[in-house]
Amino acid sequence: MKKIKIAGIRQVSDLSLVEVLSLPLRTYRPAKILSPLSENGINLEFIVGHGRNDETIDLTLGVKQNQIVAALGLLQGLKEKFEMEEIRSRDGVGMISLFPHGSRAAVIGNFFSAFQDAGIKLFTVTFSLSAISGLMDERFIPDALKALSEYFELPG
Amino acid sequence: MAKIKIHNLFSIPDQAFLTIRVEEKKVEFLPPILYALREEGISIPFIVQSIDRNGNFILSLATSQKDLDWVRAAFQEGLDLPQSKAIEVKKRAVLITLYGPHFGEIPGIASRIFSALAGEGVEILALSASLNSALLVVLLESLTHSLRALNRIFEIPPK
Repeated sequence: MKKIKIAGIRQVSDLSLVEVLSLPLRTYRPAKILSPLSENGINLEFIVGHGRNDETIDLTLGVKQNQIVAALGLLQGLKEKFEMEEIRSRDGVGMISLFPHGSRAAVIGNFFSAFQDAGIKLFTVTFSLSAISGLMDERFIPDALKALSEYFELPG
Repeated sequence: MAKIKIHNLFSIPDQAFLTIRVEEKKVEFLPPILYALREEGISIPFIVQSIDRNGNFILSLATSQKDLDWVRAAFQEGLDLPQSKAIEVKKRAVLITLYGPHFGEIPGIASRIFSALAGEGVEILALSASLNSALLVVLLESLTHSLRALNRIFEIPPK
């Protein structure tokens, strides 16, 4: 298979994932659970929100691992008030971002293929204007990079 | 509160938004489907994935409205999904992209986006924010309200 040229690749480790499942969308609830995080100096490395149905949304938040205890404490304190169905978390998460030239379907296909070839489970995939990012167990970052190198050609 | 300076904001209309739920064992069929989309010249300007409480994968993506039937059929057949429930479709969607400084370095952006859009009664179909951009999917009927809300919190340079 011909490799796809990409503009760059970036890796980050020492992240934690927080998933807030089935958060009701009504009455500003996503904003109300996120505000306390920023007010307490917890910055999100990324956020993904997509709907489970018309009334709720699942949020996946990425925070630095050294802030996970504080983040979970704040969210758990709001769980009942804002009717979050479940909050779960995972430590030791790494993120690999690819910077392709354009958002071609083939790039996304290769991205998923590489992780499958390496037998690495993607917890979350995020998308930005310039990159597609995959979240995984950080122990597997070297394997993921090796697998991605079979599908993508880095500059230089 | 001061507005956050960003580099640009633009929207892509005429999108269809699909949410697909699939068992983990079927995820291996995603790449061939995406390769088929490439062969058809179909663009995917937005895609996110997560895992639900039962361990199933949830994939949400946007594609051009004109390609909806093809894309829906590709996922339906490629993942061998039942006709009725596994794919939810929202037609007449818009993808809004905010391009700015590294959002991870500015606290509270996500909560301000959610708050501003809720204040205008906008339902966010999906959101992905990382690195230096935030992508939002909303319904076309909410576009005016969305832009008004976003203009309240972001300073966008004149074109």
